[in-house]
Amino acid sequence: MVERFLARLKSDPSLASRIAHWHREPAVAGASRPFPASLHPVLAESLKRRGIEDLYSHQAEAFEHVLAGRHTVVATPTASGKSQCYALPILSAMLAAREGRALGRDGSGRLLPAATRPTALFIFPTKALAQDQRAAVNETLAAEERADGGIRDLADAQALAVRGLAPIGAWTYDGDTPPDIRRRLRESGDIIITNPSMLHVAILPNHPRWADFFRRLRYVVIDEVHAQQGVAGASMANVLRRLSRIARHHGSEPVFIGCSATIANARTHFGRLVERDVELVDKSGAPRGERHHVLLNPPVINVPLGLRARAVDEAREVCRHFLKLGLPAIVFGRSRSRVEVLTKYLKDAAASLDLDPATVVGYRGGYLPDLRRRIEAGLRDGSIRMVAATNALELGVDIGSLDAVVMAGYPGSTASYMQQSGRAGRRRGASVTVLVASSLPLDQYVLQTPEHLFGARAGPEVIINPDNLVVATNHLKCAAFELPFRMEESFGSFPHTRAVLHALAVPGGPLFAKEGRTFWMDEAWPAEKVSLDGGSTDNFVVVEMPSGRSLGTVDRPAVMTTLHPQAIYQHQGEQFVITHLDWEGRRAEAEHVQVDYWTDAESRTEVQVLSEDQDAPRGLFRFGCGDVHTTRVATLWKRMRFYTNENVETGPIDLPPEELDTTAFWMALAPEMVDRLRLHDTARAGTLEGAASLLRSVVPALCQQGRSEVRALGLGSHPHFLSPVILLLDTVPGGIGLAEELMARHMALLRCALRVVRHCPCQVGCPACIGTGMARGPEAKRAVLELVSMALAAAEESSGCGPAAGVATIDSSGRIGFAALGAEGEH
Amino acid sequence: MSAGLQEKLARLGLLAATPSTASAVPPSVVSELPGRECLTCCGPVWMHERRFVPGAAPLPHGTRPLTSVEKALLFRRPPRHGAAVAFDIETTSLASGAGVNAFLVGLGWWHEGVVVVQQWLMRSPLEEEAMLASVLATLQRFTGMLSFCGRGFDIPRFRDRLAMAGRGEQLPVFPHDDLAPLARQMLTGRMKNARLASVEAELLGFRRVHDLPGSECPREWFALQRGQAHRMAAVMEHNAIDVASLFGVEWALFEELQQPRTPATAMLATVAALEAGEMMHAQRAANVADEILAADSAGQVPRGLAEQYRRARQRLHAAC
Ligand SMILES: [Zn+2]
Repeated sequence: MVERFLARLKSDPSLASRIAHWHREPAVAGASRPFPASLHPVLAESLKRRGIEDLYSHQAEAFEHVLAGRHTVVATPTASGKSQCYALPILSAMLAAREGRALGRDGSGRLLPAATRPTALFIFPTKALAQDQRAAVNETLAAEERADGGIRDLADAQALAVRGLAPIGAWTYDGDTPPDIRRRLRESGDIIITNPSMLHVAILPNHPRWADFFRRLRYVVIDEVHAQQGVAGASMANVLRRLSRIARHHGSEPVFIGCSATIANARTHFGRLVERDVELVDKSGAPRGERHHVLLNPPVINVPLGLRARAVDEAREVCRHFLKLGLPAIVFGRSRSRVEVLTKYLKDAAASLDLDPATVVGYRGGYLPDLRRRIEAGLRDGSIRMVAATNALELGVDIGSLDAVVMAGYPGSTASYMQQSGRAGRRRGASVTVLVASSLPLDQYVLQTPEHLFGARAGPEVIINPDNLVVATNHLKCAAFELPFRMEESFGSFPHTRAVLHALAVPGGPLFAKEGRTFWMDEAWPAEKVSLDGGSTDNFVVVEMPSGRSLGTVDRPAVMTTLHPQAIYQHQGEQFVITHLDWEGRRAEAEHVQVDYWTDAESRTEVQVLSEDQDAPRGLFRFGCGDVHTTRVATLWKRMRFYTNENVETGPIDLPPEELDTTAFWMALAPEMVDRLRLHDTARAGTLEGAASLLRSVVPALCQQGRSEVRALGLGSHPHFLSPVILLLDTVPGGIGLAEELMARHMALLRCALRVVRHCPCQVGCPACIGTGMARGPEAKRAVLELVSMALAAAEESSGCGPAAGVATIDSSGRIGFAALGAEGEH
Repeated sequence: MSAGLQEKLARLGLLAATPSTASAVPPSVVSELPGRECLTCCGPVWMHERRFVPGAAPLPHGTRPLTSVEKALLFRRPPRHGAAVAFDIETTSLASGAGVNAFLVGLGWWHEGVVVVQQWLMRSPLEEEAMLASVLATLQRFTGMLSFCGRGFDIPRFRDRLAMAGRGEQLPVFPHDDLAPLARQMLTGRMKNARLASVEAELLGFRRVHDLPGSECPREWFALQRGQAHRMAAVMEHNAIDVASLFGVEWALFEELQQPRTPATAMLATVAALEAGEMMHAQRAANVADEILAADSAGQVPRGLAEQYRRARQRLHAAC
């Protein structure tokens, strides 16, 4: 089946001409090792019964680390048997304890007495994943599940029963767990499978009731570690700080084990997350079927503007082939609205092929849970043939195996690419991933540097900032609720522990200090008010009128540009116009309409610099980062026609501004740069905005900070800098570490930007490089190229790290050239 | 701390409120608390003892300890020997969780015809250990527990505190008689809610004057931490009455059961006596119930009770 598609790809001239890169991963035989000596015989028997005679090399490696008490992160591809990496050693230790043998060391290297029956906590990002995982543990044990969630016995051999041992209980603990089961699993659960939110809001604040579980806690498993970035990652790191405190209070030092998709910095990332030295296991010994990665670049349809055909349209054409061939496929879109557009296009395409449009569905976050469950089930039973999805489907929710994945636009990170691509070809046999690049600079960067995806140390680094003041302070409150702080006690490596405790222990504050100890002193329950993904507790609900049906929710910061009156809200490929917005009531009313346009909105941001944390003068440039206060106001809405993208109407938006305290990275230009770059009048705005847009768009090539976006401003003058400046703004309150990271890696940022703008075929600036604002044009493109290369040269010269990068030239006919450039990119 | 960090916390909205400038009350105020400091193996704690005489609120005239058979009849269980201790705590929140403190524990028992109430107050969280140790030591003298909502509220929270202190195993496993479900069933339709104060008003004809509502207690304890003790005495009074009145309510509920006036109480008396194994009582109650039902068939009977009563009648019939 896949072969038929690949053949068509080669033979169809219009498809073949679009191929920018074809990467074939040959089938891999894999590497195996014999069962380790300490693998419990019950598990060995269970594996053998399923025809497994040995372990993959990475499973054996992880097995040794875990039993030696070493914190470990496993970063191997999807479907490489990651869960066995921790399930086998943990179950071996538990089974040995049942027999009165001590096996395995804890996180501090102690060999615990055999009388202690160890417990384990598995943390999965979602409830669905936790449910899947319980099934996986039971499969490892070849155990039957009881209706109440426990495990009755181990396999047909009834090995444990023969040995007279109690069974091992693996339980999911989530919002659906009934109260009487909760009590039982607190008292007798060996493995508790839960999600970060339950740990945060239910388990840790009630740890006295879990005292026996925590006293014996030996293993903490964290899945999908790569997704723990940005606010979610910072929150997770702080939840783990709390967990470590509570475990220590009850006398245990667990071993932390993480599972991650392939990311550039799995070891440092997991180390940061758990604040411990960790071992990395990243050499997969699993065999894999042949995999094809086809990177398609849509043709340039307007040469001067460098405009390419839209990724969504191109992806639709690719999907038509899959529909015709009857190959089940997932097509990933980058945003909710794009997925809605894709869903509509693909339903149309199915209808034109005489297929039932109901076999094509959309899947994204913001859908209410029961609709999502129905879609997941349809994918599993085959009644759904094609899904247009956001990355909500990227995490390992069980949807069976598919042959093909299409990405309408690069998903933004190597880890996401690999996860999405991994949705195809879980079973052995050929599979294909088709990436349709968009005109965005990052997409074009990836196409020019496929080693970014397929190289040895591919991809951007995942960054988290566990010390984000907002996140850490909120969790410090939760921690104080859970256990008073002793004198000089630290909260992980949060540097402001003392200072923040002190600031909160004032009259009217929630804490109280006495004789060096700090106590929670408030009726409120802090965990209730702290959301793990930041801000999402402040949601607006969209209600269809007059039916009153809830369509979905929107985070507050996005409301001013997506739920203003007249906005088109898209849901399942249908359009709803917002008729009324109740700001106080956090509610928008929408009516179903049939229109041929959607809406986009413009906003204006003002920035006040509060402090300069770093300042690096480099020739005619100054790089720096620090705290800023921003005020953002939505100004205009625009109606855009489907398929043509034509702006058919605009109107004003009148909504309150969003105020935000955050951090920013900036690059200020000495005033004489205005002359040097000939930045006068409109060219100045076009250049600065273009450079800002370019820099922002390549940020994800360097670092991943989760769902939050980066906002970019290019200003001709600013009262703080008294000169032109380009600002890249973190959009998380308090800053999530982006500004510091960009400051530390500003040369790499400039190198990526330079590569993109230099290779862009356009002449006047385009969405693939400097964007297409009012003031863009050949002058702006020339100036951005010069600006970026001069900035890079200045930065490199001052840091003494290499020769000047090179010089942009522009000849009399407006053609842009480039001379002598040093090493580019960091990867 | 640096002014910069303090400012940043404020800007990010992380400081709950603006620091209050209220001057601290002089430490001498603490001595206005009723009671005395008590030194334990785990340090000092505040203790107060009071006695309540029947005939003075909250104990009605004639209040006396119930015999083990009477208790069995009231709580529908076999009789058992030994004395019960009344138990009531004040907490810093109605929620549960590690950060919810039980700052005041009141215990009460009958002693030579009067109710003795002893209260342990931790004047700061540092006194928790001493308070828990004193309460545990006192509990050792009893073999049963009496409470109002204690099964669902007071005991789980107290056990959490013990678990926090690593004394989770030390709470005696008592048979526990909880008056709340009983009162709710017997007084159906006669009270606007099932709170202890409503039960007192209905059964004991006792209305608390100047009583501090339970919801205000946490705040008073927080104030005590900052040296403002003026209403802590009222919190202690509230708690002492809660404890003492358990014996009044217990006695009054029993009286009510002995002289049923409504169809519900008559039916309950029959069912309860049968479950306690007191056939004579059961037969007598059934006769009363028949009389009342004949006169007043419209009285309110909780759901399920009518059915329980029907089955009790059948068992009685079979036994005769
Ligand atoms: Zn371009």
